[in-house]
Amino acid sequence: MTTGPRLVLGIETSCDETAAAVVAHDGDGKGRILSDIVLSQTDEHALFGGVVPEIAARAHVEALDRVVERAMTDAGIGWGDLDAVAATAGPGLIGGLLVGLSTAKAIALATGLPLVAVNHLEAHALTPRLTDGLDFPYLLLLASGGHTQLLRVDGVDRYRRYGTTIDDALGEAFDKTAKLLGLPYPGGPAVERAAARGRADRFLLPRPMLGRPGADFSLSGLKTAVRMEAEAIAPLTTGDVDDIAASFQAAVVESVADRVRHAIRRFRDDGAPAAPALVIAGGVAANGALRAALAAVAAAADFRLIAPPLRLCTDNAAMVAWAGAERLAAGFADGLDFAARPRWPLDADIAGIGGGAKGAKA
Amino acid sequence: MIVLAIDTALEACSVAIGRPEGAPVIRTEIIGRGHGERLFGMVSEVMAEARVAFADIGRFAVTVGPGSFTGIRVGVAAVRGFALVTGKPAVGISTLTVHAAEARALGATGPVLALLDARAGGVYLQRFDGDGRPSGDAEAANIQRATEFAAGTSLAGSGARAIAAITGQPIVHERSAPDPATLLALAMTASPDGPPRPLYLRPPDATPAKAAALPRR
Repeated sequence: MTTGPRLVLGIETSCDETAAAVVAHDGDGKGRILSDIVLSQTDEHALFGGVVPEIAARAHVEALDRVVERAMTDAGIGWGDLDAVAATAGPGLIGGLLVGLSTAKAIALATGLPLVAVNHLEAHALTPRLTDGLDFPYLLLLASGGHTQLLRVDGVDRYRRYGTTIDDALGEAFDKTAKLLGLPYPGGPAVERAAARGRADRFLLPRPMLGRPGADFSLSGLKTAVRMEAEAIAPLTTGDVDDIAASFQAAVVESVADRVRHAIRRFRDDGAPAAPALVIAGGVAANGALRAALAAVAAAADFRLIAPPLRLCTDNAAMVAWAGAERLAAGFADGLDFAARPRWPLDADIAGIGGGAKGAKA
Repeated sequence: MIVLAIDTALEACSVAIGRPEGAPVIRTEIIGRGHGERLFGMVSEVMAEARVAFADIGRFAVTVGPGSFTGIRVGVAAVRGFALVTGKPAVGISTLTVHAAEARALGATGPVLALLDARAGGVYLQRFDGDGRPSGDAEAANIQRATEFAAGTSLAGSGARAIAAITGQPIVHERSAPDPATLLALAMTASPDGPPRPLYLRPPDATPAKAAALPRR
């Protein structure tokens, strides 16, 4: 057991960001980011209107070793200063996961350091402990292009899933709406900009799952309603696009706020600390309207709202390094035969939700 | 110089260590898939058997394809990781180059056409001259086109039979995964030329987004 801080190298390649970072985990559980490199492939996928797995995998293997080298240089450390190597091993696109995990295994083998295989969702889930020193337990809304979950975070490796999407992810709904309206990829920021100019009350769209028990999400009905309203008035003017975007965003925000209210109630039932916290993470946490609505929901329930800086909400490797450090401190390490997992639910006990032929989405 | 060579491009997972003195230590397992899970344990085992540490290794080598896209990336990522930590160079060698070299080792004296079955009625191929130098770029071709390269060559690799059936050219060997001893021999004499990069020979399977957007006024 080392005294001083543990330094962990983290690698993230589960989607379209090639990222590496070094994080210090102090003995008292506090963290510091020593370097944080993210190389985005957005431009390489823009032509296709979404992430193409094979293009992503090819880009990761071309770039990752230099990205890792840069993270080490920026941190000002050598291999001998590290205590572990962590990499996202799932959930995500298998081609990219294999590149990141293989690189991490090679580094671990050549340095003799332990390998920590990290669940990407756990990395998001533990980020507020790095940024805000948050204590367990807390409630987490994780919302991105690939994931939509409400989780109770009880400790490292200890999660209870309160809700998940039964069809599309939140970020996916923004992307699909953007595509329909001819707005650029990625859709989230584009829809938000259009929505800011539009009238949210012009189109009456459904509020999915509103008032239903539990905290699951559903976005596909809303997606269909948006398409039908838009098709009915096509060809669209810029004003139409803005109004549809605003009406869509308002429906999403209201639905999410309702789901979070339900999750807060359950969190209290399961035992809440004196100063409970709601954390939002994932790329969708960048949406200003959603943040404002969740701030109100949290305030009404006497919860603190914690939103890590946007750079740490979207995909990055600092969160992977941090999760690796937390897992290492909790006694977890993995073998060099660890298999990447395209699907890897945080709460393995829950099955059959948000599924499909291949099992739970995340 | 001690060289560590790996091959994960096809159905085999191979690790070979060559030393200036003594026989090479080579291990091959036919695993089909799962290279990312098996490779690193094998590297560790072969290094232990050869009594070699990473600090002793002067060069890493890897097959860069053509082959399974996933397998190629595992191998390339691995040696680029080893090279990054140790500061030693890594070289990439194509599976077709290994096949052609093995054909010469088996007695072929003239030009060799190295061929790998690429599924879907196609092959990956490259032509080599009598001295073992490539006399054209590697490419993915259909059988018809492949026969046009075959004149005056001996055929080598898993795609050889489909061509020989049409042209009647002699087959030297029909290997799919390359021979690790031949790979190691090539690795010892290769000149490092930047980090190894996958040789896919096929574009990614992706089509540009259809015009899903509604018409604008």
